[in-house]
Amino acid sequence: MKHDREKMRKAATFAIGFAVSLFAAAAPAAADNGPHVAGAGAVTDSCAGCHRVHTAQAPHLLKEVQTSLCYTCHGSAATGANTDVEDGVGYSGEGRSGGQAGALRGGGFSYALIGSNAPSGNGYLGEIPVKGSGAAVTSTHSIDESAQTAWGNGAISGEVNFGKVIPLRCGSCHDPHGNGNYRILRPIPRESGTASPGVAIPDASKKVYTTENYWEVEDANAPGFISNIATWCSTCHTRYLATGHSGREDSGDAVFAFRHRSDQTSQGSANCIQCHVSHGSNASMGTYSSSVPNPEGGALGADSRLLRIDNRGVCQMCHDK
Amino acid sequence: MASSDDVSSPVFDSSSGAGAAAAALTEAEIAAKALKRRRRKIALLVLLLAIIAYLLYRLLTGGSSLPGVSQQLPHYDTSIYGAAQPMGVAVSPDGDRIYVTESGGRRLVRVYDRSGEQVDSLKPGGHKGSWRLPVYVAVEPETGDVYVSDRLREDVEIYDQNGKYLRSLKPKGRLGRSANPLGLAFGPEDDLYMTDVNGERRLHRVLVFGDGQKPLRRIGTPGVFWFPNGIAVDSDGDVYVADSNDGRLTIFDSKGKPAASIQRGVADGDLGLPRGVAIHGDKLYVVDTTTHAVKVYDIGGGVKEAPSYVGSFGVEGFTDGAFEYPNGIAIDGDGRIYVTDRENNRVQVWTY
Repeated sequence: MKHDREKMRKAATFAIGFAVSLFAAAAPAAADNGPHVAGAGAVTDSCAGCHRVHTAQAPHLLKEVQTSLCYTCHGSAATGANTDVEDGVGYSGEGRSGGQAGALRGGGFSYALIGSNAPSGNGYLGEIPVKGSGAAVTSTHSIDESAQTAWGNGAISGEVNFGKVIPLRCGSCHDPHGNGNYRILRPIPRESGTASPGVAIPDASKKVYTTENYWEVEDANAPGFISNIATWCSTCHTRYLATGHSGREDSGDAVFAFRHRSDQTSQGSANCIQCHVSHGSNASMGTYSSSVPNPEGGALGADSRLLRIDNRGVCQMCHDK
Repeated sequence: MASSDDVSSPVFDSSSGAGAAAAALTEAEIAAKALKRRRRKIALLVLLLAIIAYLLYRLLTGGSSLPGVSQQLPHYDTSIYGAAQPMGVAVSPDGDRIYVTESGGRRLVRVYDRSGEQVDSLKPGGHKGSWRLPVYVAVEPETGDVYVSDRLREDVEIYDQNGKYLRSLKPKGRLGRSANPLGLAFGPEDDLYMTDVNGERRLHRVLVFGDGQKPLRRIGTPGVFWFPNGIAVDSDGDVYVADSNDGRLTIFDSKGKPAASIQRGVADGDLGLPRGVAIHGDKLYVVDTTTHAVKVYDIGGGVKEAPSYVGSFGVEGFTDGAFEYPNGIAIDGDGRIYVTDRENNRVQVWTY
């Protein structure tokens, strides 16, 4: 009898425990955290905003696909940031004047506000207006980890080498944890092959991430920006960094033999971002411009090659022919 | 003649027989009682098994509570499709119109009826053709006018209940200058409460409007907010603000004085990236975007008591009842809960 009672008690205890565990199982998972690490201390709980140590669903132990995480704040509507990289819009915190949303210098990944059909002026004083409405982009750096060729990546070589194929995402170029660099650019973009310590572009205390003039690439708030940006771009596009003689002298490279200068040694001399944007451009390409293949010979068609002006307007801005 | 032994014998026998009977009855009673106890225990075990079976059933079918017990959390009902990357949602006072802002596609404010059928979209008037980006939406309880914050236009556009554009609210005056409206809500006096994310963090705040373009007052000292998104006001005029990038929800009393908060963290009831906020009865609902869930709190104790965590609904994913970056929330008079499920391009409806 006593034995039976003991058995019954155990059974009841198990049943109650099981019922309770069902309630517990039905409860939602514990909360996690939000955006960037800010002032993280020794016992920060911010890491869990983006990372999972044992149950990550994306590389770098991310809880989900990186682009989705970034777009939570920096996507269309920008409900958590002043930079909307999806639409290419900079909001009022980005130093523009006039109280209206402006354009991001780098354009956007879905839309951009580049007045690519209406440049005016010449050289580094030339201007490109900001469009009132976003236009769909015609070329972008990829951010969804799809493979893109970093044209010119690698050292000058007599062997044919077009560049390295790199699966790009936001974190390839930007360091979401913050690093003191302008626009939290990584000194060494991921998989670029650049040797340490990479390229530093010291950030400014007052951040100005937008411009109403796409041609004016100077940024008084970040004096190191211009002098280093070409060097930074060429951490991936290594052989595109060229001096003033490179247009006349054969580099000896099997593919990139003669090259436009890009080293920005003085105000107004050529620089990558005088012609190109980093995120995406809405410029359109005409018959001849569309027929220019990529370095490998493949057709690009309407792809705007991240140029900031329609067709080959970037040539005309300096070489008014 | 019977001897005393004879006499006593029957007496003895009699008493001896009675004692045996008594002993026999006791054993029967004991056996009966034991049987009764066993039956009671079996009944208890059966009851427990029935509860377990019921809980399993509720768990598998998405239910959440026992019959006859006050339901603490809603269950998934249905979804409304058609809006691209929806952000904000509001419902008319009679519950017959649901307004949904979309941050993708054509960036309309779509209007649905209670069955989820799209019946209209708001018609921007004065700025036809210009680029816009509607984010949050609120309905004025008395008139049914619809207020929409536009991130790109940096104003609040006002429509009548038929979707006709009426006017824009572009905050003016010393307080309102350069405001960039985001979250919207109406208070018990029909004052409009608006979160402002203009410029740097120290400028982020809540502005309160009466009828005019100039704010009546502000809530929040410089630096206290960092991209405040959703906002709700209870019947006492207490204000609940999703201080999104700080990962917390801050509660102010009707005079604008900080009263309580729900902090960022990893424990039950802690927040990650709160966005949409709504109040229904004694319950506070907070959309936690990066947790892909809606967290529910009891606020029956008023602002002097910290909200008591009830539980949450929703998990991350693509199936019914699962969210992928939810953002806005609205609740009608019947307690139907609408949650924008941004990356799943739908608005989920949860009911009790």
